[in-house]
Amino acid sequence: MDCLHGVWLIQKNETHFVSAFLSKEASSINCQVFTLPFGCYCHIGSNLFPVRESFHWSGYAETIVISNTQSKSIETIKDCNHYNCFDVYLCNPDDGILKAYLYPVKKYQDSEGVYISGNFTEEFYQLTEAVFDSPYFVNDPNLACIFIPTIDTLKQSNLRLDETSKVFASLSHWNGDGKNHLIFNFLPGSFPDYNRRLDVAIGRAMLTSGGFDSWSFRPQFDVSVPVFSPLSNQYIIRSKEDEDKLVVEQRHWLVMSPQNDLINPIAKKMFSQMDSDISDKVIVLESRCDSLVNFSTWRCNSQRNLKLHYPEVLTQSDFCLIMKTAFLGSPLLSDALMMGCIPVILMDNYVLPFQDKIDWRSISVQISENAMDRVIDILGNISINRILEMREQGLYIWRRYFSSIKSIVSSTLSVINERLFPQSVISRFEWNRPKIASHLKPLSLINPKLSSRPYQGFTAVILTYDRVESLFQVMHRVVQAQSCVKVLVIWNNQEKEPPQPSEWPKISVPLKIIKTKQNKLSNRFYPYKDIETEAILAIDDDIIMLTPDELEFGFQVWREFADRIVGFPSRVHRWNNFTKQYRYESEWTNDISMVLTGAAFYHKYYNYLYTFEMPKKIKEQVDNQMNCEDIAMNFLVSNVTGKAPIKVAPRKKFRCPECVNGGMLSKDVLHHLNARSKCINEFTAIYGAMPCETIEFRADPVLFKDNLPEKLKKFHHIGNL
Amino acid sequence: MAISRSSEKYALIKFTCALFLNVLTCFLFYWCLASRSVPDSPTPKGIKVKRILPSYLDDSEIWTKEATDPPMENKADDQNLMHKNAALKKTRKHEFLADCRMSNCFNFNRCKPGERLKIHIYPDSSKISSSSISSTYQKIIQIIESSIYYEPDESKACLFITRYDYLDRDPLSRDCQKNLPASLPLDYGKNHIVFNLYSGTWPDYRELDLYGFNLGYSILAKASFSYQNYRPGFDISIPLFSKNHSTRGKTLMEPEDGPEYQLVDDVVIETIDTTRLDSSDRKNLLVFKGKRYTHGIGSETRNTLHHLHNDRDILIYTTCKHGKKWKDLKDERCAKDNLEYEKFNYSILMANSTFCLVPRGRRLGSFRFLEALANGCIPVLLSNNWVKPFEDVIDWSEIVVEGDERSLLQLPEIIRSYEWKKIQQMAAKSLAVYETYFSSVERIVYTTIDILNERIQTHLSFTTFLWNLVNPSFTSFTGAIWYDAEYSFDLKDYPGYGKLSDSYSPSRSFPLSSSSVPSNSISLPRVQGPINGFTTVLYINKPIMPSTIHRLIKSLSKSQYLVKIIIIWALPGDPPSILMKNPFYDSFLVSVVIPESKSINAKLFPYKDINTYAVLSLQPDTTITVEELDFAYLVWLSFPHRIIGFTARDHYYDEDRYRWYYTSKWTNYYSIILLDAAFYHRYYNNLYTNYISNNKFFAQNFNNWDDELCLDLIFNFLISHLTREGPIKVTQRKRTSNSSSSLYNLNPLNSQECFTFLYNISFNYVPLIKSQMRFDPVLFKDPVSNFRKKYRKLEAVS
Repeated sequence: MDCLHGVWLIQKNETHFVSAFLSKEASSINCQVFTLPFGCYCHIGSNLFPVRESFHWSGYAETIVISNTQSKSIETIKDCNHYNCFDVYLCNPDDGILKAYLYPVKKYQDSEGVYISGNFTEEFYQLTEAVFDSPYFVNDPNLACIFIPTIDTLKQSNLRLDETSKVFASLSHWNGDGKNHLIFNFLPGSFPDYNRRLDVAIGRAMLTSGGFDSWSFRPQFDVSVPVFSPLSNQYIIRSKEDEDKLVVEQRHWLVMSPQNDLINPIAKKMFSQMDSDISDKVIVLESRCDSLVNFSTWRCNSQRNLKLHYPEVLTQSDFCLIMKTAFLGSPLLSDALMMGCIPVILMDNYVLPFQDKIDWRSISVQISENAMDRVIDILGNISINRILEMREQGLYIWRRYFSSIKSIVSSTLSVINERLFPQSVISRFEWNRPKIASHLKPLSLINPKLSSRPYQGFTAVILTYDRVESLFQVMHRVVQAQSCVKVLVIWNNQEKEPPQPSEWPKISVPLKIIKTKQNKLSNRFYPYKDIETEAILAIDDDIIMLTPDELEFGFQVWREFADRIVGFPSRVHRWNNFTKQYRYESEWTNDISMVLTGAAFYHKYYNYLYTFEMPKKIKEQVDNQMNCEDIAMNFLVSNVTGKAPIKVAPRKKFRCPECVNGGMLSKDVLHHLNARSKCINEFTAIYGAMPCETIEFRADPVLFKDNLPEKLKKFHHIGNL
Repeated sequence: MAISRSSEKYALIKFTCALFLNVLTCFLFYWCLASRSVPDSPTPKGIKVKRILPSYLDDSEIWTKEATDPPMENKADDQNLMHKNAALKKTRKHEFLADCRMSNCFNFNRCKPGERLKIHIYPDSSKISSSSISSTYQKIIQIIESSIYYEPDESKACLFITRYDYLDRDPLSRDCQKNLPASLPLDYGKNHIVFNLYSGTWPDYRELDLYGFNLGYSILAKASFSYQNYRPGFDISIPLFSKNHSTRGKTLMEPEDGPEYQLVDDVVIETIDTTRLDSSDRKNLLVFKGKRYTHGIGSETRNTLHHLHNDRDILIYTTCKHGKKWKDLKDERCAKDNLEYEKFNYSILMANSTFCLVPRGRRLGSFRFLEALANGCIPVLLSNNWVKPFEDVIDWSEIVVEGDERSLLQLPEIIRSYEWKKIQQMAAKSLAVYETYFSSVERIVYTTIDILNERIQTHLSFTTFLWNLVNPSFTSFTGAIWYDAEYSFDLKDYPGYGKLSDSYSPSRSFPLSSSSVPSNSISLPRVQGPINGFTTVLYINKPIMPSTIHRLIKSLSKSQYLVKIIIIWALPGDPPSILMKNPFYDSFLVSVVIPESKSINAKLFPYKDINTYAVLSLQPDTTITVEELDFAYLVWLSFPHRIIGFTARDHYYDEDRYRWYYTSKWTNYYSIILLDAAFYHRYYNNLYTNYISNNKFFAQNFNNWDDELCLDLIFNFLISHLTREGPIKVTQRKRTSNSSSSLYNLNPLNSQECFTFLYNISFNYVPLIKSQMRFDPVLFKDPVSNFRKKYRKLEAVS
């Protein structure tokens, strides 16, 4: 194997380590590649850079000698938090995002010529690459908010502790205490103490590590991450079918202990006892199988004479026990999630990866060590449904946060980013995206219990074009309902000016006229700032028959069901099995699924939804056809809440008492019904399903039709039909 | 086969090495790849993993057997812990045990696994004068004492709480109790919870200064906790709440008046462009009204707030007035500030603002926090290092904006960048989370206990999703404190969550459900849970003719929704054999249960036989028709979290006698539905049994126990208390049996006594909610042909 000699054009957007060191201005750079005994390199300026495409990775451009007398960084400060050890002023609020600087790679030797910081491991290489590829990367240290040293500290036992600290101290922006530096580590601690934090003195630097306990972890400062498992590389590309199979396939054992070298002798004894007593449920995999077999790929159970391949063996058990070995964090957690073996965390005080973010309760079972003897009981009681849910969610979490170095790095940086830029906070819900049954989806934001402030009345919003006389009549009616606090008239006629202020009737509540710029039906649902109450009464300018009692009663009913449309004219949709279409029904039926906004109360929140969130297609259709705005509103509300509207009181005729069918000829009626049916079918197609629900009841006053003197009834002017 | 494949690989590598002529490197890589080439590698679909560098784990102790044996037993962690334990034991007085965790400072042996948490309260109330307990602490004690957690026997308790009131440890404050023990008498405070709202005092307000009180091993439930002192997984951060916080009812903090309207003579006519959007419908963007300190700790933050004020949509009003000596310390801005301050009512300010500033005061916590939440005003925190209340379980990232005191001036820009939708969601969540976990002292205490319970029985923890499912769209049952891990982890088993009707469910991809939810849905095999339809429960505690029951069964069996009838035989002796086996109906339909306890509680016991979500409680001599029941059942489907029934009762307040009264008169309102014929969700049987039947306080203090009407009242109180929603009356029918032969005890004196007990003693308030409407069939009493009507028989009933 040889290096590809010659001049390479390194593009800035290339996911190439070298390009990390391009200056801000240059979009590309020429790089002369040649072979050295330790690998392929290229020159950029006076620096030598290793080239990724080579077979080898070793050697660095520059070797720095750290002398014995050089000083270490100050000791790691235990009380550090975001507020006392992190300098926010280095982060520019105008950036709107964290800027992370990656130090150039250098090679460090002590004065004897022995390397302090050796070659990168694959994981650390990927890590630097991930930082570079991330949206946080910046290559000018003067613009940076955090600094990431390129010294491979992933595993403490590879490190010379004091010398590494000296290397840190020598970094250009370390300034003695490492403020705003971020150190990556997966496995802290080493023989014989196995401490739960990196034993390198890092002053005020933040630590990202995989084995914190609750004493060593500094909340709001350190980031607890998964211990990456290199086995993930083999499974990262896995088909959907394979993963589904992994979730649903039945498993052999209830619980498995796949770890060697447990440090708790009681646990060791207890589980090996279980292994022989209830061997159908429990299996303990030992460390010492065949001395020739590498532990990373095989597990054994000598009692049962089993030799099992790892990590496939994890697919054989519902639960995997995760206990303490010399290390607190181990790649097993990642492997277990990856193979759908639900982790049973039996480690008190272990700080789980991304503990504040990942909902560990939904993907693992946490049992305190003192309840160890009840493990089988506890796990045996978990329903199959819950097991399946946890397993499925666990796979999702594994893929999103465990499966690659890149995912770990970008999650870590996003955690730090959130501390600095509150507007970019990602909710725990978004972090976990729990799978939610359709009927559970967080749908509406209105809770009648919470949002209908009792003292508030309603605002009557009347859409009008030119029927001034009947409009005035409606206004007079509406203000007689005692909860009406304001009247808003939407003047939708651009051809004609509204009556002069003096010509409007004097009413007992404030009146405001709003002229619109276009004659659109949707104007009646615009969220006008003048609507200060939560309740809106939408009413047509020709609905003159509703009594004040009916209106007031309607409002009282709305207060109980503030997330629904509550009103008077009801309709229903019907499925025609023959035409395979919905039909709009305006007959007086036993059931209802819509309440028309010609006279209905609803929450003003729906005005926002209607105007700015509803599918554009529907709004356009309404405005073009000048029809069906009320059906659209019913679809909108029912789709958001999953609930039916409420029809109030018996009245079914609303316009002038003399005229039949509102003055329409029967041919017009048919035409009208057909147009409405068409709307229903079109809207249903846009939503993908029919959102409206059908119910068989209406709301009447408690004493309605009771044989009592009328004056005892609070609402007695409740009309018929 | 596997072996041969891997040896091919080895050969290839050897060849490569030869080319390289670099033995050392080659060896390294040879070794690395060799150790990694897995025979019969399971890599799916033959994808080759390109590895160039060694993995950080290649020579790790984690993989190689040759690794050093694990350090001496417990070396790593357990020794750590032992070391810490030793340190704890040596602790001197007043020293704060910063290393305390559940594993080293809590005695798990006191808590029986699988049992509900038991809390003992001491010393006995006779041994401590009530004047040395503040009203707030009295509320806390009273809530625990009357809860199901209360355990009178010290030796059976898992947790302890003392009557010593350590809530206020600021000696300058009136409520600070001065003559309390300096440490907890029992077991150095192990397994104790200590509640505290104020610690430290002027001038330095040290957080751990509890005025000489030594916590020992106790768990601290404290307001204004900072991360520096908070012991994760051990302590609990609680919100600062005021003396006016109500014991059990919802504490209202909203302004009492609605929007102010100015009646102008002239009609205003304005032209509006309906194509653009303002990001919020509230008048103000950001407000704050409160004290500021000109000097000392916490003064810096509040003193700089005025820089944000713009007199337009960001309104900051502060006053220098606090304590006696404020005038000595006032600065040049005080006079003007104090004047402005008086002009505005802060609850109105908050109710009309999108964001509310919650800056730290002397301590980290502030009353403004709960006030903002209660007003649906998004809290903007300026309190560095503050541990937000109950942050183990509540996801504050969906609710608050976390500012940084160091970069105060960036706040306006930050909050202006929030979009309309996000604002609406945060505001709605504020209201909901307030209601669910903070709206009463009871809810704060229960949440505290529940968090502790989850730490003790970790495996019974609810998911974060469930804890935060206070999404307002669910008008029914919110908040993990009311769920029961023993009952079910599956939300659809709780009232209000399951899709109960048979109609298919529409796609709800629009608009608020996140469309980015992964489409990883696969159809999993699910175990069948409870089913649709209803189970009728006939509770028989008075002699009754078997033929009456037969008639009822016969008529009930005509219902298309009936799944099962359960007869609870609460009379002495065995049920007549004719009930047990009757050729008339099959045994699948009817089963007879003889309850263990003959008390009235048996009526609301969660019997295993009830396998429908809907339960119909029915009086055996009812005259109700199946048509009415079917109608009521359909209504229940729409409101499964409420009691749906026929017999409505009301309550009212007598202003002359300053008392609440129960009434059976027909009025324009009702707030109670009796269980003579009523549908409710089966989960309420669990709740009732847990919260009422097994409640020692209830049993001790309640004489009129065996009274059916009283039971119905308790049930209504309980459901309204938990859901904050009332029952629903259906149809015109006023009573369901001929009163002369009714089995119901309708002694009005008893019922008033029961009602008084409930609101005075057990609930401390009237949770009942009034309604002015009932549900009738759509065409009820309409002047149309009866043939058109589905519920014809209902027309005749009155």
